[in-house]
Amino acid sequence: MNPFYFGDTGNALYGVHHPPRGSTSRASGVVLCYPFAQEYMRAHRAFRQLSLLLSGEGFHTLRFDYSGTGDSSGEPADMSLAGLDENLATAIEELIDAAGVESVWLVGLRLGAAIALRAATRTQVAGVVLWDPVVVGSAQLDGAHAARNGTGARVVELGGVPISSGLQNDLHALDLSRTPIPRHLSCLVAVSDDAPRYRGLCDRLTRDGAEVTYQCVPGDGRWSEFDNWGSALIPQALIKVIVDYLKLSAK
Amino acid sequence: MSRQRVVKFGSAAPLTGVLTEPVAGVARKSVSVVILNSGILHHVGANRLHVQIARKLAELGHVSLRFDFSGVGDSEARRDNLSFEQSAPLETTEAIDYLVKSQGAGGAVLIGLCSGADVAHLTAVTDHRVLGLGLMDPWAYRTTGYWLHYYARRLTTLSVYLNWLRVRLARARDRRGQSTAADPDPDMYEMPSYAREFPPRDAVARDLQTFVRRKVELLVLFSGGLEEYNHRGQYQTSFSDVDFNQQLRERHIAGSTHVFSAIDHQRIAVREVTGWISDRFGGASLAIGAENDPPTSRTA
Repeated sequence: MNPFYFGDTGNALYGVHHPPRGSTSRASGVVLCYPFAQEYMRAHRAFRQLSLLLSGEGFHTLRFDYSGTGDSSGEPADMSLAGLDENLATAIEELIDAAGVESVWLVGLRLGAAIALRAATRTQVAGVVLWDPVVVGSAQLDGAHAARNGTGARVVELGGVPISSGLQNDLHALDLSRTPIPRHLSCLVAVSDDAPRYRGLCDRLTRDGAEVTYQCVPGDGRWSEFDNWGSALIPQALIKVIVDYLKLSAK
Repeated sequence: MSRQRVVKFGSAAPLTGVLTEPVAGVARKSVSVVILNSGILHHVGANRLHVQIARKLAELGHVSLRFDFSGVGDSEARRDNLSFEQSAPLETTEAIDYLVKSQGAGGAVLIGLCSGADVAHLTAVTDHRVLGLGLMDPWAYRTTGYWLHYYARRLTTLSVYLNWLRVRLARARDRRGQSTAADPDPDMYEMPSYAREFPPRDAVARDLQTFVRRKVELLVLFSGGLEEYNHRGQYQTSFSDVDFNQQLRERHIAGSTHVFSAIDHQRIAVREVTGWISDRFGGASLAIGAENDPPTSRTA
């Protein structure tokens, strides 16, 4: 587990690189894309566990904080979808440069899944895992309300995080059913609820030429729920599904 | 802009921390700050609270270190058999060692929420380099005033009556064999593993008196989410046998959750913690050229 800063000095990103453990080292690396707002805190432990399991299977794995989140530089009020796209592209480059992997898979949870799918059209990505994806961006804004920020100015807050009007607009416009994808993209849609929106997303991805695997492991996927005690959500069975898929699908 | 870099230290397990150094041009203070995990929340803190505190402290000239206890966040697990109550104070002492050796710190203030507050207290018992304790939702003890506030609020709150009604209805459903809300599934959730037990009040009082004699400054900041505390002044009253000698500051953010979820409550918490550090430890600065080790990784 090697934590480090990477990217531009003025916009440094915090990441944790998990090199392969054991004798096997695969040619593919995996970049993990965190969810947003309080979901990030709730998912951190699950991402640590997923990273450790993937590194045990020979993958170089990188999990990182977007600018304005976690330990990375920047403020949440300056976030935008374009900025998240850029952060992910930087993380992919970093893993390729630092670990020398030939190809990169992306695993994204909730909004992180949407960022991962968007990256597949812009960057050379071997495949994506969409974990309980936010299919329509406006759903991410459920629970947002007016508040005051650190300087006392009025802002919109979601789960203790101020959201800029720019990011709100970006999220309202986000719709994975219209996000272009490259043909033959390998894709696992791993969900905790067999909801029509996930089935619809799979149909659409298949229509556009992706090679889609759908896995539903019924369980507790309440990522956006606010927990006043800081509990973590760790769906063990679903994490295993993701690891097993990557073991079979990635080089 | 503050400078952040990753540091690793620790003898029993590699512990990961983020060191935040003062903003360029600001005089570096001699007192550094260590910010501790609460439960399984990693060193960023709930809703990035620890990051906000660290960056504000950098503006004030204080170096701070936010690190993860072994097995938490981005730190490796220990291989020995020490309990959390044993290992966490040892690791906090190692964090202070790091600050003294690499930053020339003349002592440290420990900041912690909930279990982090407990560890800060336990560390201060044995480590005399601790100059201040900023404790958020520390061990608290009910007083007569607590019960007066408790019943006064219940008598005037409609939701209490509605809740009473809900409980009665739920019990009636149970009796008919219908299910109610399920407990969290252990395969799905990981709760903070530290089972928080409040020590006997007299033992805590003895420690507090010792801290005061050692000139340790104390901040107790309560959220609205700790069941044992409900009004400002309760802490000092509950320790009426301790002579705090003006070294205690007590604050209460009523209405806040235990982890200061709302950004308005985060803002107040950051202001209270950093304002207290500035008031009590803002005087002494290090001489120019005080020792610093070279960065071990790129900075943010």
